[in-house]
Amino acid sequence: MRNKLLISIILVLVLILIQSTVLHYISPDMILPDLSMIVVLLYASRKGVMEGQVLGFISGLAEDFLTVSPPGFNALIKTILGFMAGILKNKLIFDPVLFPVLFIFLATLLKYMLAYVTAYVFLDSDSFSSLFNNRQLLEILLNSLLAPLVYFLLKHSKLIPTDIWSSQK
Amino acid sequence: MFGFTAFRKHLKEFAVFFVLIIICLSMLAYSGSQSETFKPKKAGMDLLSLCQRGIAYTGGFFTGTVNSIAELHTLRKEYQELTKQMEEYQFMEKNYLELFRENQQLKRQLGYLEEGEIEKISATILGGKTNNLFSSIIINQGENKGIRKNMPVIAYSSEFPCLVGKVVEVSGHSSIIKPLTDRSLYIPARLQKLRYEGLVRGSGAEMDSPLTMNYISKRMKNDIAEGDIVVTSGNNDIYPENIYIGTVSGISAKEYESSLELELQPFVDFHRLKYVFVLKVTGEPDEK
Repeated sequence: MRNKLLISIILVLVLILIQSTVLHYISPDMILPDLSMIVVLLYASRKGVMEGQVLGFISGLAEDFLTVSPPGFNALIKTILGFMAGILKNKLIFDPVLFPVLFIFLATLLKYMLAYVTAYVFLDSDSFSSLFNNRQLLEILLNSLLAPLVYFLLKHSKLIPTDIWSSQK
Repeated sequence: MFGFTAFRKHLKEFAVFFVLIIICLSMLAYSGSQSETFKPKKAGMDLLSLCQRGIAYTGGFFTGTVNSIAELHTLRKEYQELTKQMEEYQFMEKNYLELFRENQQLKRQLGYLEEGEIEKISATILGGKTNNLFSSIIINQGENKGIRKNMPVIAYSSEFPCLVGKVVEVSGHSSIIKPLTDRSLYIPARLQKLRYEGLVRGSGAEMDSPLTMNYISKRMKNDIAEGDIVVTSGNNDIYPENIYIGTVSGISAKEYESSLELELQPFVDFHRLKYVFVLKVTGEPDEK
């Protein structure tokens, strides 16, 4: 199980690095899907709270290191999201299409709400643009559409259980 | 017994959750009060920028190889043109040096203060943002080259120095730049020809979105035209004067406001930006 967590951490870090380099070369202004968040949440929803929050914390911290956001900003948001996704373990039916789409749609909405509240408390008002602008709405859509594909890849790489019902272990 | 075990298991998870949250909140609170880059962030930036460097160079090698084949046949033609241009520039440089000396002499006679020396530190762009919350640019030079927080960053477009943004985070071998399109960046500026001064600010959403210039009196409305060039005014310690910011693309005067709002198209094209220069002005910029 620890091996899988380690692989997931490496996967999430690679995704963050790809987002910040390869996608930047394609277009610096591109609306980026939050691939690392999708992996964190899908992994957490099948593996539980501990794995979810640890993976969320590490992925958020890596993002903090690579952006202008203050350290702790993304880590806080991703830890909370990972924790909440982990709570859902053993409580959901894992339909391979509908579940990832709805789950990631709601999670991305929640991510922006948490980001807005955190920015309101810790940053000055100019640092963060308005909640749910066009770019953020497009990201929510993009994340939701990519979620089944990521779910499929995680399942086939055996990082998450392959059964439809959540594992009882 | 089972209930107790389950409770204990969840207690451990909650305990870890609260520890992680406290770490995040402490980092947020501590980093907000620091003018220097937070030390763990420096270490993390260095480590991850090393990986970014690897990805960037690998990508650069492949795209460079493919592009170089296509570029070979145009090189000879360009070489001949450049040789001709070089001769012209040599002549111009002679004239320039004469004018420069004359200018310096006149300045001394008039008692003008010497401007600070500006050193340009060249850097390559390694990457950009990782999410849609904040826009940023990562470059491959840091404290090792003397880069500090708040140093302005420029790029050359059609031989003119254009403002890219300013350095906001520095680690040993990489730095993070906040682009001038960011909402939280205020740049003292003036219209190059008319010399009216104002404050330029980004809209924060997209890197190619227009900038806005405020605090120009409504009385000047008829003097300003679309296409007018806006440069830095040098009215603060961060940005030296006469760096190109953008051109006026729209003028609006709201009834309830006493000043104009100018819409500017930035000079710098972030889509084609590969190399930048960090300006190190003698007399260090204040930490903001």
